[in-house]
Amino acid sequence: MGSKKHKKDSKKKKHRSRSRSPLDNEERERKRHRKHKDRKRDRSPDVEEVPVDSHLQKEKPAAVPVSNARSSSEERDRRAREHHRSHKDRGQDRYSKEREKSSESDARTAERDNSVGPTTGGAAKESLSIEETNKLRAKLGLKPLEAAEKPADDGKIKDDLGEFYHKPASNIAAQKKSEKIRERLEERKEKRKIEQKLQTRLLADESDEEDASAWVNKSRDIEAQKRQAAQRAAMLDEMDEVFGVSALVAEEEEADKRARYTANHLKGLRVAHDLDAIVDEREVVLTLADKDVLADDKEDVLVNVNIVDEERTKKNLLEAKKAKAGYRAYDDEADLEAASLGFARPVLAKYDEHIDNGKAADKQKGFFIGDEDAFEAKKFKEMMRQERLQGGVAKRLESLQMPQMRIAADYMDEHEIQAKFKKPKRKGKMRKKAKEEPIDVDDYDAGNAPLDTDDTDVKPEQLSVSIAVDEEETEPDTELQAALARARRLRQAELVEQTQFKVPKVEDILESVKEEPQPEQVSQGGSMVLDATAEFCRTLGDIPTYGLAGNRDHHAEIIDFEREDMEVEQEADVTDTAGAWSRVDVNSDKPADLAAGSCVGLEAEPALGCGVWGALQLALSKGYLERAGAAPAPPSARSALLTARHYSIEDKTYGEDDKYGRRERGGHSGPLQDFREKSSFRPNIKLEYVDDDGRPLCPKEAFRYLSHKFHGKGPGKNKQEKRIKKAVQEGLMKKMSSTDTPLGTLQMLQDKQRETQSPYIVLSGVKREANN
Amino acid sequence: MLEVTCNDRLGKKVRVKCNPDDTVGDLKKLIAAQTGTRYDKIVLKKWYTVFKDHIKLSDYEIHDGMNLELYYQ
Repeated sequence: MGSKKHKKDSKKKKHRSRSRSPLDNEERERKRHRKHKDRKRDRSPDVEEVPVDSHLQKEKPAAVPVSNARSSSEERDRRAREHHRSHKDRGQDRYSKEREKSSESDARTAERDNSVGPTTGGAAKESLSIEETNKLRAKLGLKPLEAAEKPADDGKIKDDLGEFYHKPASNIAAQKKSEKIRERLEERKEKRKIEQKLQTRLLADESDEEDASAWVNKSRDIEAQKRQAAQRAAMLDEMDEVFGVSALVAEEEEADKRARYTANHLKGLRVAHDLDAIVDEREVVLTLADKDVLADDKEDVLVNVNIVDEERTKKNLLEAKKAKAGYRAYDDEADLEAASLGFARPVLAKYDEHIDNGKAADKQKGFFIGDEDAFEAKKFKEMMRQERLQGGVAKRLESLQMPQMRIAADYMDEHEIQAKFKKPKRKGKMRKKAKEEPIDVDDYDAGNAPLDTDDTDVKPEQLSVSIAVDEEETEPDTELQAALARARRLRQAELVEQTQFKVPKVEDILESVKEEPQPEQVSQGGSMVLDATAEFCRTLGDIPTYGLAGNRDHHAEIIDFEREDMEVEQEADVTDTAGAWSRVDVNSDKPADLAAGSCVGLEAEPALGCGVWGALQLALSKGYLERAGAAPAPPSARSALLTARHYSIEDKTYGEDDKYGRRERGGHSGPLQDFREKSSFRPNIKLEYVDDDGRPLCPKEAFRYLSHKFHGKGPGKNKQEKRIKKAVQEGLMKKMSSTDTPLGTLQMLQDKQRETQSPYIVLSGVKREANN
Repeated sequence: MLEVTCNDRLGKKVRVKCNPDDTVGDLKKLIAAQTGTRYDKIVLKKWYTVFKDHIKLSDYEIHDGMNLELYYQ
């Protein structure tokens, strides 16, 4: 609306009207700075510079209330001043002046807004003061503005219609706070009350008040009082003595003593409890038991109320148990049985004992006071019990309490250092004795002493001596055994000596080894010996190399050529050597011995020093020499003795053979060999299954088919239909041509094309046409 | 008493003091007195509501400090 020129004019005017005095300038400047922002924000410069009053003045000059005489005179003044000033600072930059003016005018308007007082006349202002407005309103014929109601100071606010006063809302926060404070105060009050109640003076506090000296004084006082009392007592005694009262008193005491009720008076009274019930170290108060006034027996019985109670409870418990067992609902049969046998069971038998024996038992119970025997018996019983508990004299009770655990130390402590392991005592002494005893050193010279080996001969006189020694000595079993064994060996050796005194020494020993039952030996009482070695050999079974070296069973040959030399009266024929049956002479008084062997298992090594024969023997036995024509030895008779009776090598081999043979043949014994003539036979096996219609089945179907057959239950109707459908489809598929559709469309197409002589067909048109 | 601000957004913006029981016509007269436009050429609007002359400001719920749109016809 307003052009630039216009604006400038108005500004100038404003400026004029504003600048009342040069003194105000500074203040105005300050205000300008302060208001700068406000102005920019809510007021566009255009609005400010609208020359409101100019319009007003133009249109209805009479209506402008501000243009009164006073304001107009002021305006004149200002104009004159302005004029003057403009003259004064003419050299100033015009532009800057203008800017200043505009800013000043801004400040003015702001100021004017706030001020209610009379302002300059109809000058440009957007908001009129109340007074001005009122004047304007009066001219327009309106009622004056209502005075702005200020909010009442009492916090009451009128509602929008101005009709009702509202009570201001209470401040909940403040309320809460006050509540809290009140609560805390209450709490504190309560606490104080309780504290007051509980506050008592403690014993220690009290005593604290008295110091040590007070305590000492107190105790001294007490002591003094005691002393005084003692003195007084002594004085009184003296007085009594003087007047002869003491003698009287003593007499009286004596009498009293005599009249006193002692244990002797109670002698013979019965106490109705067991001795066990009355505990030794406790004082038990006994009272006379109640009894029937009309009862015959006048016996007084002492009881203790507590013990009576205990006994009663015990009894009740027992009875309760009995009662539980008492009800037997299905006992009729037993009753009937008992009745049939002649003795009827009493009715309610469980009460019988109680009624009958209750009193009687009571009477027998207990003990008599002064009855020493009972005490003795009790004591003795107790002692016995203790002893039994301990398990007699030999047994002592072991505590289950283990020694206290402690942490293992790396070093030995004193006890451990001192402690020594007890070595188990050897029985060497005894054994030595056994060795020494039988061989009496005094009786032999060094050369003759038996070395206790098998390859030395033993003289008969030595033997007898040793046996004598054996008889004399009564040694423990081991010694006896050793002695017996030795004696036996010696005797055998002796026998050999007796029978073959002409053969060399080695021969003797070999003879002794041999198993051939010799009548003489038998008559002399040989024995079968089982020892550890023999057992071991037996368990080994037949040693394959046994006897190969010839050192084991050459006795056959030996015996062969020995027989001539032997001058022995043989009543019985010695038929066989090894493993043969020996004939026993019935007439002879000695028992027949089946075998003889001084040392079984291993035989003695032949002595080398007995000529060429001995050397040869040794060589043979060692295997240096091989006996020509020595057949693989049959199982020696000696070892046969040791081996099991029903056992043979053949058996063993057969068993081993069995392992393969029987199993593979599986019962059909026959030769295992291939069919040579059928070696080219390669059967081509093909498993094919067909169903009832003869159609081949795939493995899955075949399985199903077989399964149905096996279980005797065919597939369901649906399944069967499905299968048939499938089969039909398959057949169709097989019949279908591979080059055309099932409807023969291709054929038709080709026909059409041939007909029309064109490489295409027209698809449009009626359906029938296309089909043609 | 209330004071409303009337703004045509073309350069005129005036604040007018009035009573709530003044009619819109009275307000227009006051505005006319301040701006210099003829009061019958003034249209007062708030959004799409054109205030009618014979209705009081309080009925239109025009309160202190409200902005009214000033148009001319």
